[in-house]
Amino acid sequence: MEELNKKDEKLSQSLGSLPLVAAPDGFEGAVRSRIAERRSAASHSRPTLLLALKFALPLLLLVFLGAFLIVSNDATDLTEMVPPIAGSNNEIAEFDDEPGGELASSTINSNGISRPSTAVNRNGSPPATESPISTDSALSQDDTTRFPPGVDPRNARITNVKPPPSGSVSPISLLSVIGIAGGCSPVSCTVTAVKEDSPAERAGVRVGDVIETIGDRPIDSFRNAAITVDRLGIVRDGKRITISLVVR
Amino acid sequence: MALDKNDQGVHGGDVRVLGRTLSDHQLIENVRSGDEAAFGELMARYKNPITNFLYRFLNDYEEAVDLAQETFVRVYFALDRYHTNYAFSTYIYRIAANLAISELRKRKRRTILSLTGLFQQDEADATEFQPPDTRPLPDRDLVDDEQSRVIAKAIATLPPKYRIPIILRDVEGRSYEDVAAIMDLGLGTTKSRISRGRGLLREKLAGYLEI
Repeated sequence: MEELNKKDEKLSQSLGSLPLVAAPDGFEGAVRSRIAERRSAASHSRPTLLLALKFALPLLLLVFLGAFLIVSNDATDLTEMVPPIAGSNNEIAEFDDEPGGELASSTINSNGISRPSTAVNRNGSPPATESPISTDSALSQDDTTRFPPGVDPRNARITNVKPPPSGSVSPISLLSVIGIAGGCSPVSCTVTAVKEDSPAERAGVRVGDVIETIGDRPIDSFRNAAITVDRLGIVRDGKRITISLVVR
Repeated sequence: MALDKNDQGVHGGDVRVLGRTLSDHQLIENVRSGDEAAFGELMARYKNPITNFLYRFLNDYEEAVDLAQETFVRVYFALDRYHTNYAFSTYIYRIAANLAISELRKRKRRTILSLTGLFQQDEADATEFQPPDTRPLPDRDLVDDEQSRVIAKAIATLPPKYRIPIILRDVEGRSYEDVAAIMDLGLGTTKSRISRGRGLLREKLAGYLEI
């Protein structure tokens, strides 16, 4: 241990005998010019940053605000016009100009483009005071907004459904118009609820019925086809029956 | 370039300005108040010790001077954030040590990236492991120069965690407490590193020094 200490001491002496190195002449001047350079660089970069903050930031905010307003307007329109209903597309109803009093519905896709897709008979009945077609499972009370004032959807009959070219009309959407709620497989829809005093109830549709056709079309054919919804093909208690929808 | 030990600058000491002595902290306060001459005083005190420390650490005078200047620039721009709870000497050495360690890392990256250096032997390592020249030398100064050169290269091959305390303690003669403060380590750890560093140096210099 003592020997180690002596060795350490000797090494320390050797290290301590190393000559000290001095800074060169002009050291301070070089430091000062570096400081000046940094200051200059900082002062040049600051206005750029300020300019960016002064103009670019408000501009960006403006762009975002504009985009937000446009999007929110579209969203508001959709919210007002289209209540959520079962199926992939949202439908709204509106009058067309035909004297027969048909009620045309439109499909609004996700881009907010509205196309006519459905025509519903109008009967000139007084305004509905309650939700005409909503059911517990599929529709909300707000569904009355789908019909214009003065139209009683209880008397509506869906004719000439024109699905969007690129997609298909949801069968459950069509069924909900006549007061049926349920779940659909690719080939059929099972009725889970029937709206009271709706065309479906008056026609005798019951909970548990399995709907295989709407109008003349099987459930799985709702693609690029015009559909008239005036009768339903139903399997009840193992028997296939056809129910015609009554127009009043 | 070489200095006498007593000429290396004022080590954390005081300077007499216009009949009164200003401490480091007083000078810093003056710099903060816009007195650029006070910063000149700080540089005058520390430029030689910092340059020497960096030279011993890097074993490259040009780089040592460059980093010493950078150290003062960093100090200048960070003076507003400097807390006078610590000794200024500790503060400036710590900045210098950090810059030196960063420089070592850059060197390492450069070495890895350098394709031409793949098969080149590092000059420092080559010198260090050369057998000692036992022929008698006519001039004592030449012997001292050679010995200094070899010791300096041996120091420069130590891992940084041993190199810094060895330089501060054995080359610059700072106290263990100062070294611990600069390295931000406990006193025991600092002593242990110094001891370990000395052991490594003894192994490296076994052929040159009778230790």
